[in-house]
Amino acid sequence: MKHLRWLWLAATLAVLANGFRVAIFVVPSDAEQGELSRILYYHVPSWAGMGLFFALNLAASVFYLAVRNRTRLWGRDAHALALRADSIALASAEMGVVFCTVGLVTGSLWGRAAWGIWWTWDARLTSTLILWLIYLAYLLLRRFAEGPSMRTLSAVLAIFGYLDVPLVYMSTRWWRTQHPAPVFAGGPNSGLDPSMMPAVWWNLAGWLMWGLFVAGLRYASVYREQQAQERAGLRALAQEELEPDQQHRQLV
Amino acid sequence: MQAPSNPMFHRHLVAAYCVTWALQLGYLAYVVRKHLAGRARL
Repeated sequence: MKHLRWLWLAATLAVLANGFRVAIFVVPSDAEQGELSRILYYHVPSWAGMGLFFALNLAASVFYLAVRNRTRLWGRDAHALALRADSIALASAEMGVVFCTVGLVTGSLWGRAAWGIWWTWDARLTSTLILWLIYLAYLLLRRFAEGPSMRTLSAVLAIFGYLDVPLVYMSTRWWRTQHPAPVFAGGPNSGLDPSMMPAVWWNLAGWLMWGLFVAGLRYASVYREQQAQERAGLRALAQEELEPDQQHRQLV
Repeated sequence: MQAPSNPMFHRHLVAAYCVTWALQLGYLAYVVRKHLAGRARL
């Protein structure tokens, strides 16, 4: 497993290095925006990463809510499976927020160079900022609260939070404001020139592989932490049960 | 003056790529720190 992790990291770094090479030195620049258009090769993969990890967070949260009160599932301990799902939910939410932050910052830099402004309250930008704030609230809840009720509450918040994702995706289709019309899957006149696509594919693959690696590492440590908390809780319970008996012995 | 054609001289492009790496590596550092602290506690 450890070897597989290192192998995955090596492959990820190789794909990212090639993605950088192709994006900067191989594919042609855009006719209108020139070299600036190359921001797209880091901007779009960060949104894809955000979409993937928030969807993973949603799936893990739904699974957690579905199995948290069961004892057995598929012949296995349902509580352990629920804990795993909760760990996946936290790791993927963190990774999604990192990708969302990258997308917002690179978009802002692009906006400054292309439109002359760092920010505007346009439908796409505003809905994305709200999404970022919702998942930030989710992470703060997880940071400052504890126990099973926190897990349940955060899973519910994750489900409500995800409702904003389709809104972000559709915002440039429903409202024509500052942000350009969708480049991918946006209709008959949308799309990139085929000569630019290799840079998109390499960077998309590289950043998604990166996200899976980092989120996988985070999942392992969160799950370990959850198990340690469970053990500490059980020890405290056992101690509580033991104490009245000890008190009785002292009285006798 | 003609704008430089080398993409490496476009400051917004360079800033976007640097910020991406800084955020991703910063989060990786946090994850590794947590991972190692968890293993040390075992």
